[in-house]
Amino acid sequence: MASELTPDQVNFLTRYLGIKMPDTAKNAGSGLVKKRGFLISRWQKIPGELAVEIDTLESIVLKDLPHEDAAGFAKALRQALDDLASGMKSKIDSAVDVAVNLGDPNYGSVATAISGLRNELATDAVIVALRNNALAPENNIEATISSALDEVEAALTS
Amino acid sequence: MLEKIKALFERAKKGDPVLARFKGRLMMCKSKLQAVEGSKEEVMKPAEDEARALCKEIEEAQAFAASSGKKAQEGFNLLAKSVNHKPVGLGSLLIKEVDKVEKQELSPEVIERNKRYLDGDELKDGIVANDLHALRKGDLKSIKQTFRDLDGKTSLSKIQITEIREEIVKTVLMVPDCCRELAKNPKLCGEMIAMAQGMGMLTPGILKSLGDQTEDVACSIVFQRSSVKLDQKVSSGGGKGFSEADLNEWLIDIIPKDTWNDKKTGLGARVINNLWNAGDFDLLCTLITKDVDPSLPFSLPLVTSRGTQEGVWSGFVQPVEHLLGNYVKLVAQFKKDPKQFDPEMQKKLAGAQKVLETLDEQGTNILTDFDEIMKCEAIAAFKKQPGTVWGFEDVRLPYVQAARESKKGDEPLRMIELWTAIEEVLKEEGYDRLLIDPDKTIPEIVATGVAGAKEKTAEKKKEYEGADLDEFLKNFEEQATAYLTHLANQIPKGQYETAEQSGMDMGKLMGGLACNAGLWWALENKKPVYYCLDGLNMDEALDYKAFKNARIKAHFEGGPKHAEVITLGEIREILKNWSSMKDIVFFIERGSVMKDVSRVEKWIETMKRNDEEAGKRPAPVSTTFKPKLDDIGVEGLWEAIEDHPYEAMKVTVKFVTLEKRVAKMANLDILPLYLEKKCQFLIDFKIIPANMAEVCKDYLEKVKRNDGTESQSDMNAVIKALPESLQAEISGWRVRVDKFAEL
Repeated sequence: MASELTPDQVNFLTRYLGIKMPDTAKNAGSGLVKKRGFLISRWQKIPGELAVEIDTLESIVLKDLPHEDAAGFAKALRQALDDLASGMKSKIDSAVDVAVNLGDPNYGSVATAISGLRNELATDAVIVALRNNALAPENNIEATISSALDEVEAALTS
Repeated sequence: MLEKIKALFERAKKGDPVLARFKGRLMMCKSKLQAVEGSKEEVMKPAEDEARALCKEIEEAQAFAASSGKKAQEGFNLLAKSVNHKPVGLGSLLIKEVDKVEKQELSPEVIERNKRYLDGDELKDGIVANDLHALRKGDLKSIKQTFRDLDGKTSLSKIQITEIREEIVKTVLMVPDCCRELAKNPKLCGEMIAMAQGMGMLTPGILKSLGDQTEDVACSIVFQRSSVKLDQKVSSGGGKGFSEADLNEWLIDIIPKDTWNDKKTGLGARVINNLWNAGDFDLLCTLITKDVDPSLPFSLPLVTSRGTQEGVWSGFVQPVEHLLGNYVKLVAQFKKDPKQFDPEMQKKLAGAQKVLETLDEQGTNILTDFDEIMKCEAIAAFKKQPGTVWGFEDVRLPYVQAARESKKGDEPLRMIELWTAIEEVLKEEGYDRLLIDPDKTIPEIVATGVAGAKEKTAEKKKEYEGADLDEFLKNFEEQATAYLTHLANQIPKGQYETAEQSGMDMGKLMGGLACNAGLWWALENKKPVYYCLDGLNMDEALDYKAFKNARIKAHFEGGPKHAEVITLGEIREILKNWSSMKDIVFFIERGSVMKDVSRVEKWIETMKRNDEEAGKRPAPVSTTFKPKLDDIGVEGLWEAIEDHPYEAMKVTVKFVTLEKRVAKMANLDILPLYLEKKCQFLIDFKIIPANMAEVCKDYLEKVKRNDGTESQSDMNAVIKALPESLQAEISGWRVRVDKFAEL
């Protein structure tokens, strides 16, 4: 595989992903498109993975707390987690941009960003409320997002 | 119901974490109940229904708070908060309700009304004109609201409130059209007329204008007036209007005998109780002579807490005939030397003497003369063979006092006298300690009991008058030890884990079980049981199962738990086991020992027939017991039992007793005995092997012949086949049996 982006690849990134490629792009890490592609596809999977968890929670609320508005709660939770995930993606995107701009082949800024996101995840109000929650002590929401971060970090910084 | 709501409200005020959220609603409910108290059933019903619904909601909230659901709700609330979702949960619902009620308490209408009443500090003229106008047009709401507002929050002084009330009473009652309209609310109308009488304003014309509602209004008046202290009645009478005697005569004339003695409204029983407490003994006696039944109790619907008046107990108003039992000996002492009592007591005892004489003249179920009791056949029998005295508490009291005076009674004569030793084992922790380690527990409990008895006898000197207290305490120690030893060697009956789920009030259930155990202890010790039947309606005892079933069913539909009537439970225990009990039980009627035992045989037959008709005890939905049934761990059990609530309840009770108590008992023979005698439900649902009963019987027989070790292997084999969930407890029993065998 070529170590530099082809003009078509640069064009694709600029046109379809809205990423302005600096002149130093040619010095940036190899397989940028592929890596960005992975970030996009991996992040696209998150809503589906979380949906399973949210559905489980909704059914628990329906069963154990029938007086509660389970659907309304699920909708609010889904929105909150979507916001959380897209916020993270945006930060990773920015970090990728920084790495590319800096011509950092190791994507150090991505690693730093992901580390920060892990802290953010650990202290996020929704995630804290979900952790060891008596309503659904076995929920995997934090683990789902955390795994996605791990995979993205591994893919982008390899 | 009012008492229950009051008690809940008090707890709410003290900050009970669950009840605090209901404070406002409880206060509203209390006011509503107070407003209709003493009215006819249909008037009271809406307020009582509302109170019942509130109690149900509170019970649910309490159950919820105690359940895993609470944690789930807390988890949900946390999560909901994090995603900005507002929980609908019980808490927020209640908060909404409380907000609503708080607003009601500070209703702008009340504020507006108060402004309307006053012109500066003076009351405005014609303040009730609007209400009167509305009333004339058939609208009762306005006057009712005004009258009620004066009970609630107002900025008016007590004097102003009295003035307004008087103004209302004067204005409304003097207008026949209004009076007739007002009579459509008999409770309110009765209240106003009772007040008018207190103000010396009542006239025959007012009473004549009541129309079709005259009887209902009369019931309300008599109830209102019955709780007015006698001295206030006297001071308030003598105006232009009716005298108190005229009013009483009118009331007695208007209210038919059946209405007085209606068990559902309990008018007679409640009025008589009020009159006793108000000191109006003359009117009380007059009512008795006019056939108001002094032997009738009144079950206070849904009330489980004790009232504040003498003769009002947990859940019922005591018949005056029973209450007077407390005064039989005192009246005898009073007759001999009145001055030994303080003036207040002298008045009361003079009243009691009058009531006892009236009861005697009219024919009563009780002996009213203490000297007669001292000389009666029952006390003669007691002197020959001392034993314990049973029956309704106050009815048997003169017999206990007479027995005590016989110089053969220096010992606890009633289970209640052993209570300081018994109460500890009615609690789960004490009961379990007794079963598991009786050798250590009994002396500890007895020591505490003796100390308690010492205090009690010092407190109630009059009751133990003439008794040798050292001898009494010595006998107390012996009896308490024997009783607890007996209890430690019986199949356990404490159902702490399941009683309330099954609709039973735990306190009364355990009290009843303790008393029934007392009968068996007496049998074991060949101690006579003198059972006083005076004042006891045998039909009620014989039909008690149907009554109990109805109460439990009502509980599952939102009513309170069933509180056992201990005396009726004792009678049934005796009748059910008459073949053994006949050796020690002597039924006493008006001081005579009942000799015609064929009557007992008839009672037994009737009871059996009634019990069959009453059918199975109602049970809650099977899912109530599902968690425990699942814990048993027998495959297919839930599927087999889920459509059989009664069986689900019985299996749970039997299994829990086996697991929590029987398997842990120091008396190693109880486990095989329990498995043999009490586990048919567990066999039916294949929780224990079908041959278990037989193997246990065989084992016990061999144990009796000192040959237990031989059948231990058979027992071990069937025990291994018990559900896994029981193995840990049963293995403890096996280890203990093995150790015992080695010895």
